[in-house]
Amino acid sequence: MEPRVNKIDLWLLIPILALITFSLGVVYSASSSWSAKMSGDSAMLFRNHLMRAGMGIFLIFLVSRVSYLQLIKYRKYLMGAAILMLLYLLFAGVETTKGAARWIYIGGFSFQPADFVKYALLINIAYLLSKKKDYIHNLYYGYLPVLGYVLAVVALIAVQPNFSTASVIFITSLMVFWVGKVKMKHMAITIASMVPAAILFVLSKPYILNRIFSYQEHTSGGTGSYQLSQAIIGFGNGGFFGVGPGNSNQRELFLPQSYDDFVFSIVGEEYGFWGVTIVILLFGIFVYRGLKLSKSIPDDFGRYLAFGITIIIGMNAIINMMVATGMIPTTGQTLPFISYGGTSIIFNSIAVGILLNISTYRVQPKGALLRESLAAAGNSHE
Amino acid sequence: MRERTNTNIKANTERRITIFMAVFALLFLVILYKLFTIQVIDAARYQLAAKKQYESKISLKSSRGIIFDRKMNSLVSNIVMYSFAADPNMVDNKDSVAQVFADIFKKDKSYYLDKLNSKNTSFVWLERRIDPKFEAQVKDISFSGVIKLNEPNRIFNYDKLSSQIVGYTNIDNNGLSGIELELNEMLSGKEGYVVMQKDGLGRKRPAVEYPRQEPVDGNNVILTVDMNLQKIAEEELTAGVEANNSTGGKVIVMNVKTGEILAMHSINNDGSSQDKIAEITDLYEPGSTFKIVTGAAALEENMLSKFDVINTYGGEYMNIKDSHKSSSMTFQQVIEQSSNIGTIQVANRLGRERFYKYARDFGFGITTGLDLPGEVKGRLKKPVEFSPVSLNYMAIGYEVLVTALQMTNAYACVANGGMMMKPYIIKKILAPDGTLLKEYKPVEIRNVISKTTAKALTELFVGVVENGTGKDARIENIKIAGKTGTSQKMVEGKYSKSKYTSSFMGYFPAENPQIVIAVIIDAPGAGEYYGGKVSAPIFKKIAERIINLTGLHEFSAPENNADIVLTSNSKVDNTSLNLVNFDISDAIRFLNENEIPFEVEGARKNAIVVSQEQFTDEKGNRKIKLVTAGANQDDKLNKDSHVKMPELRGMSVRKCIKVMSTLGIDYKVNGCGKVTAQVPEAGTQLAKNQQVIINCDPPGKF
Repeated sequence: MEPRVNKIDLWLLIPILALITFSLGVVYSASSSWSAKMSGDSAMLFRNHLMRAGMGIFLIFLVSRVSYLQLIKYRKYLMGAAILMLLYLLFAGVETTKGAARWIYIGGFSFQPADFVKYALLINIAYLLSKKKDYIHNLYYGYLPVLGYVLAVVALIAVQPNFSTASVIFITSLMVFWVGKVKMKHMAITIASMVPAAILFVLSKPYILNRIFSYQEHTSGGTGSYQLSQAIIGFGNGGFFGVGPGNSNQRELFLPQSYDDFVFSIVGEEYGFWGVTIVILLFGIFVYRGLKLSKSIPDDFGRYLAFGITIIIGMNAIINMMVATGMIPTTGQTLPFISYGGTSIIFNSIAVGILLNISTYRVQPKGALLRESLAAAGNSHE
Repeated sequence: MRERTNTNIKANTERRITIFMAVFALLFLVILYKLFTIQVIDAARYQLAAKKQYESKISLKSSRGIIFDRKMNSLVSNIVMYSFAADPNMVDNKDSVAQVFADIFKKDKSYYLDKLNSKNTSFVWLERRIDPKFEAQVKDISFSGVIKLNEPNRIFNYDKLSSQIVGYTNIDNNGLSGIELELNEMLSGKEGYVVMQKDGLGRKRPAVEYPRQEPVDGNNVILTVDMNLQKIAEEELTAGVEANNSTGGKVIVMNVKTGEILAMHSINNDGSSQDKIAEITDLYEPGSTFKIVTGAAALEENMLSKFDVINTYGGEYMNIKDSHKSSSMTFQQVIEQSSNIGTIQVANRLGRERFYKYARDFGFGITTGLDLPGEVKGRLKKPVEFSPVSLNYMAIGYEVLVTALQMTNAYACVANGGMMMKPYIIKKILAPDGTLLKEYKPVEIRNVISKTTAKALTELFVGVVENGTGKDARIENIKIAGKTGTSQKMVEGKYSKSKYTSSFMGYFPAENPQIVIAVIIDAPGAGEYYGGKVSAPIFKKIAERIINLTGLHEFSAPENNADIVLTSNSKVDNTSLNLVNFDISDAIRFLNENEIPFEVEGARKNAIVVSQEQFTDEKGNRKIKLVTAGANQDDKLNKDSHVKMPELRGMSVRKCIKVMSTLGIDYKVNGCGKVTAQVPEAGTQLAKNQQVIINCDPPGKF
């Protein structure tokens, strides 16, 4: 294994630790009455979250000590596991969330494969793009095999049906493609051919249309989606300073299960505009440092991986916030590190750990010599 | 060459990543701007919306559980009463609404106008739980913004019978006393709610994702109390308290074998709450009934037999006087004549420690654990706290504070062969659908004395009734065991010479005791004050009526019935007989056994007597006519069984409501006064949930 060259980038770590800490208070407040109603124990969901948050922090530090280059060795197994999980869901999944099978139960723990699959896919396309960089312009040997992975995963998730997650994975993959120098013409054709497929799919799944129509109703001044209008009332009720930690009225009656997808609204109600500003700022710092890091990685695999991890977390945050503020239709994406979201915090933590490890390979302006040694190290896997 | 391409690619990639930075920054700023408009610019609007919708949460009342006696007669149940509320924002014509309400309820119009003009609220009560007599007038009320609500209300089905045990609820249906308080959580169920979502025009609008919580009805409770015995106990205690011009009294009827409370009542005319369960909350010095401790201990320790002679010092010893001036008595006579001096001699031979041990074992100074709120444990001094004369006084029931229930349970223990049972009053708890949730079984506490001792002591107590101070409790052909007690009451720190507590504790049949009855009368003021003169006769009346009514069948094992003589020879007074509210099968047995001619109109089984009248038939015989109504409550729980429409004409509205709710019939009453018409006719099979209509008119009208 290569010697560690730099210290990890603290500006990546600090925002994440701050978000996790913040989430403890928010999830407790948002989940306690619901939890008490369901199990008679107001701290039940919170304890689960505390356990996962602790596990997440532990994983961040643990993974950050393992060279990300090790992932190359295991990438095929990760991809295989991801595909198997999706197939399992398809044929043996338990129907839970409104008719969609999205969860796997292992020994009492529920597990949402999509959280794992998106990172497994990212590792694979990042590797393939870096390996095929010299002939990626070749449609048959370069681009299509990479696209094949993406389409397989997206299709398997879309039929769950989980159209929004499939879309998010497709779009983030395209972003990685773009940064990974895929020919613009190829990407344009891909997008163009996906549009009719997506339209057909949407028409065959009435629930997606319902969401979109109720969203439109909302934007035209009606009361479309109940949860959404309640989430917005929650933000407004918080005002600038918020109603104070634990004082949310909305969660009691009008936003059941707000600890999940609409947790941002509880942040807004209890901590006010300054509270949401801090949360956005923390995500902003993280995204900025993550993207800056990917610029300074000499190894293409590390660079694409760093870029992909950053935009997956950043996109999730933005989508969740936009849903909660009524700017786009409901999708069911969690707010990373803040939502109760079960396994998402675990896999996001592992991803941040990988990112931190990549950050130890970044090129300092002075370290010209290092660049060469690293380039050599980075190429050694080929 | 390759170097150059790499650098090119790198530069290109870095540029693209920079574009992403810009895009993300822009998106974060857009979100922040959106949040700024919601949380800062439009905050006031959303805060108002939050407040409004918070207020439009409407609770769905759960139905409180029913409390039944041991034979499934519902002692208390729910009737629905109408309440009117309004949303001031939505009432169009406030003036006419106020006028209509003012006309009906005879209140000032401005009273309603003030309510209707309330600001910043979308819910005001106009009238809560209106009297059923207004129902006809309000049935057509329909104004926009005025809401008619059904509110459940508690009613006693048998004129407050057992009301102390059952207890009361407040206007929000929460238990305040008795079983209602003890089992409040079990009975109340869970309120549900709906959230009313309003759009910009104030229209209530159904939304798919409404959080709606259905109410969960409360559980039903079955008591060990027997409604018929309760009625007897309450009536006789009331009569006894009145006849003796006393300030109050207590009665407990308990099943000896199980510890079940069969009836229990207290009258508290001394200024304290009429609703308290004085049998467990009030303490008194028991006097001679406490001699049970000394008697039981002496026999159990084999210190003496009933024939042993005890020096009674000519009736005067250390400031204590006996009413008998004998110089000596047998132990049997000491108990029969209730000699204080003799008892003190025996207690001194026992000594403090042994005396204390038996008193403690009999349950004095400890709560019995009865499942009702407010029980106190009384006061039993420990031997180290005894003064030189404490033992003397405690042996005859002073310097010790007990509850009526503790005393009753001590006698029940002897009656039960020395095994003390835990008294209980909750028999079963049933879910709304009738499934058994919890059943309470008899619990043995401890063996206080041996069977032989208990038998010997019972013989002495039989002697008390046959030859001693308790003669007035005697019932022919039934062997009663009992003990009288008369104690001076403590008034302003001194033992009063005029205020007494007079009690009688008895159980029967002595050969195989089934029932223990305790009667305690406070401060009798009509001349007599000895327990044997005041309380023993009340005991006798209660015991007689219980024996006549039940034949003790249900309290004894079948093989024991042969040697129990079921009826007394005393003639039942035909004219003062009141069988209303009795279980019809009990009433029939009673009338047959007393050879009283009668006729029954309505069901002869599983029904309740709703009215009774005397009449003379064609042959000139005086007869009693009993009218019964339908099935009793266990059939109501069995949802498949249907009820027949009873004859209601001529009944008062109050009585009619009582009958309807006893039968579990959904009804609607128009008018007030006496029932003049009913739909459907009597005898019609009623469908499940069928509502019947009853028209009433004031008596003057026809």
